[in-house]
Amino acid sequence: MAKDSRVEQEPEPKPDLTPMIDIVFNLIIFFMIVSELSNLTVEQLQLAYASEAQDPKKMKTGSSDKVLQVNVLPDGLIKIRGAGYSDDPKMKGAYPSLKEFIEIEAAGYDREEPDPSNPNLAPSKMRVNIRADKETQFKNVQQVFDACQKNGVYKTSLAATKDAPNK
Amino acid sequence: MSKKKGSRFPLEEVELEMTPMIDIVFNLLIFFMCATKFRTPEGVIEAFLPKDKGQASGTPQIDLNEVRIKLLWYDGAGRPTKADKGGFVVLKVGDEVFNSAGDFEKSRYPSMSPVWRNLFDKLEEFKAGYKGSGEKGLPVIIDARKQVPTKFVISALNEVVRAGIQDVTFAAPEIDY
Repeated sequence: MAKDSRVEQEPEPKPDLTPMIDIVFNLIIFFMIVSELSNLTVEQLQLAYASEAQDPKKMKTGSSDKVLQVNVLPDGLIKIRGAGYSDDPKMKGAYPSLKEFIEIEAAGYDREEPDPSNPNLAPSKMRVNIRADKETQFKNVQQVFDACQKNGVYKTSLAATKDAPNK
Repeated sequence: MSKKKGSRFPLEEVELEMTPMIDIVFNLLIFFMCATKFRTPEGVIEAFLPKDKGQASGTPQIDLNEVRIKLLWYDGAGRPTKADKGGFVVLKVGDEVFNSAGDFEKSRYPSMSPVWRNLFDKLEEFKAGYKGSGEKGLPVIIDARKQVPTKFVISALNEVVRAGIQDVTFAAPEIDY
């Protein structure tokens, strides 16, 4: 048949790959931008819900730059930049002291004028954000408060999620 | 060697081999899709550490009007316990108890419990009736036992902040900590 012979002579159809490559490259760029491959300062934790939690950048007391992120894990271990610390007597010896670590960190920051009510201690300009797992016992958070207060670090905050749990 | 018209070797259309590139691009796409962790919106609440209290300071001034929010840890028999497990949280302000045994523990979302709304109302009541001399207004102390899960402390702090109270502190831990 004449029609069949004409079809045989037509060149092999080739798919146009250009739009697919465009989309795939766009997807790669998107995932590269939003992905967080390795962040030692922020551990994966289940934070408690708080409707009044503020954006850290909009806080009144100083900017969110140079904030020491202190992660309190469900088992009570305190992790800072991927390393474990604890002042819990049960964990003594297994991890370095948190108080000593905060003391060394606070030494790298300037200090404000001492408060008239407590002239012996000049408050540090260092900021500490405590990211505690919602199920961790409060004594573990108290360890961090204690270490901060003993070293004159008063600018502390507690991290919370703004996502309501029943959503 | 340039190829001219009528050359022995006719020009052939150059074709790019796309297959290896597409393989790599798809591998990259799968890697980033698997490795991506989307961060949930995270906020912070100021944790108020007092500068005029603690070991280094002198005698602290006590405001008799201060409100103490107690988050206690009771056992099944309704008595304070030091056991890490098997206890439940009791929320008290003064002598008023805000929840009954296991209210929070039975709730699927303890942070959304109506108990917190009652605490907020109580704080509003205290705030309206405050006649003290504190610069920041009504002083509130959050006194949580060391066994209490942190989510309850944050929920209590959340209600204090929601009530617009500025003078908030955390009580020191018990001595045997």
